[in-house]
Amino acid sequence: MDPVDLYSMDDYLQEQEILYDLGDHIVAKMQAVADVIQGGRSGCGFRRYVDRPREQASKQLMDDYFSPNPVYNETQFRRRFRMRRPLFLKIVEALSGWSDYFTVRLDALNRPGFSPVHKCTVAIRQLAYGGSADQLDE
Amino acid sequence: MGESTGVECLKKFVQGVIAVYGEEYLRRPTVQDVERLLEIGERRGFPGMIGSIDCMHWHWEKCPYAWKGQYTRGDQGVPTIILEAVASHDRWIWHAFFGVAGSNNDINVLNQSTLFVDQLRGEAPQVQYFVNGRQYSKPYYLANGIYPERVVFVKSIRAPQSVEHKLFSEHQEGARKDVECAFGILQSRFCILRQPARLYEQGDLENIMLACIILHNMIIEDEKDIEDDSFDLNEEATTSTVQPSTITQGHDPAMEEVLQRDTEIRDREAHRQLQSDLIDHIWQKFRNRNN
Repeated sequence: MDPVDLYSMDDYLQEQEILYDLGDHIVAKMQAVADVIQGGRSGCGFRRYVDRPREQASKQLMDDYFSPNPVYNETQFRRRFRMRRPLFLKIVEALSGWSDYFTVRLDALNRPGFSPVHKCTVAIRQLAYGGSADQLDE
Repeated sequence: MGESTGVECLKKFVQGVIAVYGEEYLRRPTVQDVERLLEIGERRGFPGMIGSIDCMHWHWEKCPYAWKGQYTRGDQGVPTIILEAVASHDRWIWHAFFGVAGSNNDINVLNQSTLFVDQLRGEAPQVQYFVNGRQYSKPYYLANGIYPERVVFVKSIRAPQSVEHKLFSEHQEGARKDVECAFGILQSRFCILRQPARLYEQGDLENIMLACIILHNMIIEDEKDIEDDSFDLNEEATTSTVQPSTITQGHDPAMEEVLQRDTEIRDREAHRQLQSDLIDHIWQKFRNRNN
């Protein structure tokens, strides 16, 4: 049998056209999705970046509870942290010695991360109040 | 601080607390500890008592669906994980065993628990005390009705008829409340234990529970000076003695000795004897106070 009877040049061209069409279609769709993402969010990709004023929050925390002249007194500290201040600072210090995580580390832009006191405060708040971690996102 | 960072912080914090302070603040009672506990016990009319034992449930909201049946018990109605704890009069938690599925009862938890491992290995401090003129060598815990009749537990009397039994029940139930108070304080101090747990991993929950207990004990030690000692110091001297164990730690005990100790702990006759001696002891000690 002649193979041309089964699969001619015309058939081949037709199939190629369908494939090209499909390719164009896919490209167009992807472009549309990419445009939506570009318009809706800053930056590229799906990760959202929130610029949190870490330094300011840390300073506020220190002023409120840990400075020599704090805004809230001993009673309020014990009520909110469930323990007295020297014990809390002792724990923070011990944890700093235990792991790198509880030390001040710099990120790629040389900007300091959260301070150990801040991290421990967040952890104690979650234990003491039983709230969700999202409540502390301020 | 963002949500995921907050959760990460919490997990690291509890790990750190356990790693740094676990050894000290969740230790097995040492000789000095046992001496102090026995002294307090004796003043309250229970010579030889070193705490009271009970279980507590923690609701696990994010329990995997397939495990729900295993973790749910009818009286709780929701998936829970059990904590078994021993607490003393100052609300210090001496023993914490967490992670048993919520459908178990207190006996099953006890059978899995690590509570008597020291005693079975012979590493626990050796104790001698007298009740009603009879000598005993095993310290005991106050327990509620479900616990088995062993020499290491003293239970209340279910329906006391005579005045002696009534007085004993009154004192036993009053002293056993230590552990319930400790649970209450732990839960109100760390509300996370009162609310449904929203983490997925059972290991994280265990870390949180242990860290909370360690912090609880640290706070108790830190604030000891605020508490006033409400006991009457003009009491007769203690009759119990505590010796450090003759067996060194880390040594592998012989199987026969372990079985021998296990049989001693499970002795039902000794349990009854101890209870009747305690009934007499409390009757003699407190009989005149109520009049």
